[in-house]
Amino acid sequence: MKYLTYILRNARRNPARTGLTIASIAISMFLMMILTSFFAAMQEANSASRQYNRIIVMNANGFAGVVPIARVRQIAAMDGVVAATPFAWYGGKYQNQRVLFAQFGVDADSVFDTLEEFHLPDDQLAAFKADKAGAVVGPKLAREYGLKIGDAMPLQGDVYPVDLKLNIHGIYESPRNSDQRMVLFHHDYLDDQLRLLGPSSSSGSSATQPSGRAGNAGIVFVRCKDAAATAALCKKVDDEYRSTDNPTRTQTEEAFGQMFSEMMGGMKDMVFWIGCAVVVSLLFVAGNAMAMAMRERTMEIAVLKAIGFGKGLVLTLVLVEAVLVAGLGGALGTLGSKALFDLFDVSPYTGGFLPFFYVPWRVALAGLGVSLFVGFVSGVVPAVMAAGSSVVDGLRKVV
Amino acid sequence: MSAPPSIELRGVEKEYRRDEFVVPVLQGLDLSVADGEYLALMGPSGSGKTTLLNLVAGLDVATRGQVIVHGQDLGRLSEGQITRWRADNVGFIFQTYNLVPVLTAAENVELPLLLTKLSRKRRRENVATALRVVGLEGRERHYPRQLSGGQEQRVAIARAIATDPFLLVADEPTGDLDRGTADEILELLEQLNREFEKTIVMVTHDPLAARRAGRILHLDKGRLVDDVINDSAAAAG
Repeated sequence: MKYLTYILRNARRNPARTGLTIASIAISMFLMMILTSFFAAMQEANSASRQYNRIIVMNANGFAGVVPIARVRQIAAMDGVVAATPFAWYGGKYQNQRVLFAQFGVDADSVFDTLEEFHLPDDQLAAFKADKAGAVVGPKLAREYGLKIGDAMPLQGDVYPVDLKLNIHGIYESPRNSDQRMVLFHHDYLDDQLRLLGPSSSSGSSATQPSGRAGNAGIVFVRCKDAAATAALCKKVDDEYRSTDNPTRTQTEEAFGQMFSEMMGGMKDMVFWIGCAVVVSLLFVAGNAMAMAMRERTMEIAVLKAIGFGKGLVLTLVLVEAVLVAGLGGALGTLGSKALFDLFDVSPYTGGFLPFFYVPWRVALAGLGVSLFVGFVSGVVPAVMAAGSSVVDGLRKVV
Repeated sequence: MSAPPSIELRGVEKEYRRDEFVVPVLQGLDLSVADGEYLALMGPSGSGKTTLLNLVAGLDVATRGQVIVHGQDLGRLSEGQITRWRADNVGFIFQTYNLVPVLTAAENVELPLLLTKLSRKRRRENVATALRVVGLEGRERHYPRQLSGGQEQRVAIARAIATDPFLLVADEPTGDLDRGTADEILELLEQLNREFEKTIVMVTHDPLAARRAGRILHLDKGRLVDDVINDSAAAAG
């Protein structure tokens, strides 16, 4: 501690250089946080879903296929199932805007039993259930569009050639790492609208045509009694429908989320290599700054060693200074990004791509650790050179 | 029986290697310096003054021969031991002061004290005492850039005496100062020698500065060519 004054003053000796070094590390780490947090937050949300003991039923052919709506009831009746609800993606426009938030047709009676972490006051839930054109919206979406209970919410069909005239009856609450920008409405309402189109509007494969979509859901969310039941239920559901026109693929919600992550497997690798490149470039930036600082202080270091500062102490002083500068830049970049994204919701600006975004603590702390590592490694060479420099050579210009 | 010498050099030779060339700097040097003596080293450039100073101060090691200071053969000490020995026994005064520009006068003086086990309070007391001795009370918080050359050299002297070493080595301590300021610094060194009984070894080109010392050595081509007791300085003392 008694050397702290000396270290801090040295770090501030060339404010422009130190400031630029800190800024370059801070900006790099800030960008790193954005890249890595995207995957980390997704993974964190996936892992968090494990506690809810849910499984997701989808068509074995993927999202191109459908799950007949009748199966929701059949699955809900299976042993070990608490509740089940369809989730049918609508994908409409609101106020002539492109899809900026998710709209799902669900079973109003079971959706909040299935998604137990989503909460809706009883009176709002009752009103939602009572009105076939009723809908509930997420709090972020309500804030963003100034939506209130009692407001009408017309959605213009984009994927489906049907428009929905929804009435907002509730604003749900849900954890931060869940989608708080959804619109949930009665699946029956969408189904009715699709049936009204009649068979004349469809041709070819029924499942891919608008009216052919009637009576189907995209996926089914199923809440199981406990974790032990999930694996057996996945198998049971798939076995049940294996020999039908629409065989299913059932997996835990966590696995379902990971499936999305795996779709971006190449992206993950790319982010990893970008991260490595950033670390290497930071090593050069910080290392060069420290090397320049040490070159300027050759005589001063010689004087310190002359008056009794040992090799180890000189080495430590230089290393601590390097770690301090890099650590400060890292703290600004990592903790700054965490604070910024905690306070500022970027999801509205991602075109619906990110329903939530934040920098998890473990990512921020890992980033800070990387910064300290960069400081340490970048300081090693200048520190070793300073510690090993000859006092006589260092003083030659003055002695 | 007389007291053993404070500094003793026996058959000291020093060579430097420059690529494939071996450059002899000091040759067959024998010297005894008593405790409390004030020694001026003179001679032309390249005569070996600074090398001799470095050997006596434990900054460099002799190629051959022995450098014994206070009974300690410096050539037998490890690098860590000699660093510790310098911290305990030697104060350095340089021509260009060599203060740390980002530290205040008091913090510069405190630097060698950081290596001791003294408490912060004691360190501050020692710093205040050292700055008072060199006449810089009230300048504790001034940075080197806020001081004149003479004042900077006084801070450097305060740093050199802060740990109360027995030996002060000064290399051209007045080389960068005007005559008046140089005299003040030389007066201060005399005072440290006279009142605090510091052994001083000073390299100088300045005959007026050398006349302040009690003994003047002349080196030429690495050999001691003259060793004069300066009676006028002794008389003044």
